[in-house]
Amino acid sequence: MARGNGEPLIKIEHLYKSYDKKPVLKDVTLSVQRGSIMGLLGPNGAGKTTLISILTGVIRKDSGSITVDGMDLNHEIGAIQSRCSYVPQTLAFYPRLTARENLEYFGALRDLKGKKLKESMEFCIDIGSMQDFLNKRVDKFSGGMKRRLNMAIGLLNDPEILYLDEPTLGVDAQSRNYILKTIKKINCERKTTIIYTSHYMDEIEQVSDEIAIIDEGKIILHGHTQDILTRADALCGHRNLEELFLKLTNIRLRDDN
Amino acid sequence: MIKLLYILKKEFLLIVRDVHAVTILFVMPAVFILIMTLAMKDLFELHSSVVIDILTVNHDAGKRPVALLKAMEEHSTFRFHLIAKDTATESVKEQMLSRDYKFALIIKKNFSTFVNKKGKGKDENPLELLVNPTVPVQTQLVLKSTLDGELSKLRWDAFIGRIDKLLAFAGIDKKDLKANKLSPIDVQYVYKGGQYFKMPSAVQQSVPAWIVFSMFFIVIPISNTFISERDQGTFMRLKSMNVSSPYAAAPLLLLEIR
Repeated sequence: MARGNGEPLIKIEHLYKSYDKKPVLKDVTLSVQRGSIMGLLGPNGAGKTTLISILTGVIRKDSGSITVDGMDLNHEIGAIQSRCSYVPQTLAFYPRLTARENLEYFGALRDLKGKKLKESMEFCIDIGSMQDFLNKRVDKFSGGMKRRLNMAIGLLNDPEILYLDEPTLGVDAQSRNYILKTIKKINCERKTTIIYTSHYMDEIEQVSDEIAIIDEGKIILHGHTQDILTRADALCGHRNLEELFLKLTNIRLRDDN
Repeated sequence: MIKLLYILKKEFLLIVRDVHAVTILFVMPAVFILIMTLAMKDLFELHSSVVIDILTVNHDAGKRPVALLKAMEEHSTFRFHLIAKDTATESVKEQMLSRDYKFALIIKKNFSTFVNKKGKGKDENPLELLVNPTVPVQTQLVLKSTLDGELSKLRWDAFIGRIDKLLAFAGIDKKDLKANKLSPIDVQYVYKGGQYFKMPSAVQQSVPAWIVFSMFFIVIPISNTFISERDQGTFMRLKSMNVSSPYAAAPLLLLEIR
């Protein structure tokens, strides 16, 4: 199952971030192997989206260091961003445009043009299985179609690193299955390193090579999926990621954070 | 440049596909034009043609009042609307307000006597002008001056009539002394640079204003797009994309300002 070649592509060391003096990330240290799929798990408000937002350059860190393929995020953010792609958990496109118009627009912003733009679009249309509704306005799409388009836009620049923030949120079983298969396919065929957040434990088990659990701004567990499942067996009596997750993060509700 | 074209295309499509935005974009300036035109109509009508309607009561049965009104109407600016000659002053005031007249003229019984007057005694003024206080002073002066002028002409002609035997004895043709009905003043318009131009109408005058105003209605839908981009997380995506173009960065700048 493990597809990473052992060399860390992303290195995060002693990362801190706070909003209005309230710490959100506290001394996060984490590494992501090249070509792997990392599942990032955590309760609501644990700091998953903040961590991804810092990694993608959307927000700035307070302190700590982040390197991507040896490049410092502070100094080479442009070069890093051009090799990455971020698929937010919200449907980040224009509902009044068609799928084609959305792809063209985001492709153009990625400096793609002419034949290159066309080829990228064809790949994304194929991977999102959008051939039949390409010229339809996106606000007429089903939830699953929108999710596929959201992810397809993130693939336009053929990224080396793909950040997926809850890509299966609110979709039916069929679309979820399709998205998960697509994630695996991209990882296998293009050797794309994927960082993936989700609340669905079975998804994480299914697609991830390694898992990191974050809670209250700290990484409380990080390791290969099989190792973590073995640990779950030892701690909870069977190989169940959800039980291990609840045991580690406590059952207290986190919405009041 | 290609980025800019795609951004413009996106903004254009987002506006034209938003029924509410298009409605605001076209209907609101149209409403604005209509309101401003109606509001400025009276002001700009003064530049083309002016008609002053005057409610009139004639208490004098002689020919002189008729001659005065005829002479006044030859100016084509004044229109006299006669009502029953026995109408009391209070009733004239009521009618003036209820029928939306700006002026009422009361020709008193002694009008003909005043015109034909031989003596020097002080008599009651033969005309009374009732004025709505909303009327601009210039308009009041225009009417009053014209009445003064025409009344003076009538009195002069009456005087010439009284001394016609004396004039005949002196060998003077009284026609040469009669008041001239035509104005002795020539009016000439002076245009800057010698180029003729026509004063704008109320609609034309509002054009620059409603062009500026319509800009707001273009900005409103674009602002809505920015807000929905933020709410939908599109800005997050754009910020993570290393968008170098200043055109694409403009919305991001607005995001930062917000």
